[in-house]
Amino acid sequence: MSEIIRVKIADLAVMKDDGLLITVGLGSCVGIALYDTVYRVAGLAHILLADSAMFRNQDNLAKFADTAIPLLADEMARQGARNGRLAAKIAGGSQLFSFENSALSVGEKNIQMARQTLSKLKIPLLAEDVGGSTGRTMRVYVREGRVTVTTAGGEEREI
Amino acid sequence: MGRQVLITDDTAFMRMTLRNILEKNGYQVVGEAEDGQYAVDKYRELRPDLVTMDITMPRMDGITAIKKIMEFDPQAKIVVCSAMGQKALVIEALNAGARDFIVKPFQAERIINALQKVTG
Amino acid sequence: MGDTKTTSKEFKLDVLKEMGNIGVGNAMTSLSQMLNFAKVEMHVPDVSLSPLSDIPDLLGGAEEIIVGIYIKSPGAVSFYMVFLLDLESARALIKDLAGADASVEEHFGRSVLLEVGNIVMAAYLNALSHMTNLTFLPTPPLMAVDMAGAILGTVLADAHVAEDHVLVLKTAFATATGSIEGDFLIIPDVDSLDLIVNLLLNGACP
Repeated sequence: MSEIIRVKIADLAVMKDDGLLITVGLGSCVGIALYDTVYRVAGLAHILLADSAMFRNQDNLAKFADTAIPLLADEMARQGARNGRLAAKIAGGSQLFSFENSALSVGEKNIQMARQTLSKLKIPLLAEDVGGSTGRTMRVYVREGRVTVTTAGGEEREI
Repeated sequence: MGRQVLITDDTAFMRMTLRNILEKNGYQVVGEAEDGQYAVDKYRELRPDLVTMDITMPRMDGITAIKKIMEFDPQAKIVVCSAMGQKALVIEALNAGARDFIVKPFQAERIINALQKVTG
Repeated sequence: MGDTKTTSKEFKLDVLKEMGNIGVGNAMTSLSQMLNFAKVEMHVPDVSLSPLSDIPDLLGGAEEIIVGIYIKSPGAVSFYMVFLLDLESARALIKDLAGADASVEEHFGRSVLLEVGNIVMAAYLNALSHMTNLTFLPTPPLMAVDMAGAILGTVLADAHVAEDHVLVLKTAFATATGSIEGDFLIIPDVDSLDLIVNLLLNGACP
């Protein structure tokens, strides 16, 4: 195993050829993994909020689902990926605390915006492990193009 | 006689703690409510002699519940038992009709003395 | 125009630190009373403006499974507060308070922890109310047993923290016996900061 990059909250990273991208502690946050199905480039974003338009401080594009995904795709293109060959897998958006009165929880909003943004960019969403009430850790194995999810206290499984 | 109590608190642990204290001191717990709405409904149904009331609860808070119970029965004897000891809230609860305001955490004697004073 | 000393960032953080000190002191007194007046020690609150991405790691391990009890106090001056315990401390707390070997996953055990969180955080707000003459109306407490990073991330998202630097008041506490230790995290809404500082300086007695 060569390089390991830990993607923190409201952050993203891209890796080429071989290595591991990992993001820990996805609660209502959503982890979005993109990979080029032909050329070995993968990217992982850990978004906190859904819609950048709702916030006046938009300096950190990696924070919002609607801006992080295009940014991630751009970064991957810089490493040789091609938009037409990208595929996505997402995980997270859970409700750790049951907010009784929330019409749509932050997690749900994040999931929906992620799906919407991917659809707009015509990036197929191949798999998702979202919702529920537990936290998740997401890993992207760059060489194999494998994405796995581990729920808090559970087993690592591929999605 | 005069010692039937309705306990209102959103936490099972606090309801159990209150129940233990009250039963040990000769009071009879006739009902438990986990939010203000249940408290109002149970008050109408059970007509207890005394009510203990929390403030911060889901669905309906304690102060609203006090107002509704007092509307239904101006003689209702309600004692607040809450972690919220802020001056404005204490005043609001007493103005709404509560007879006393006990701030958590409390010693058992505090609540027993309060209930005894209210029953007269 | 204006006294640079009283409006400097360091001064504001200092005022908040003092607020944290008094507030958490009150909260710890409450905790001690619940534990039959067992001695509870608290460290001096750490007030810092941390980068958003560092918050989930603030307690050490973002993957560590812990108990988090969350309360928000919305309004003109809002606070997001989390009371955090490792699993052993949570079990010890349940045992001390209810005499039961109840699990943190079961309804009763959770209920004990929720009530502790409720009382401790209300005590903090009570002190703050006394200092500023404001009235706080927090939500009922909510609990999660999960990865520290997931809990903190979810709180940040719920607080709609859009800033890249987050003001966090963090106080570590422990019973003298060491059987119960945890952290108390308070995130004030950044828009209310100046208001809080002004009220603390000009408000009711500390």
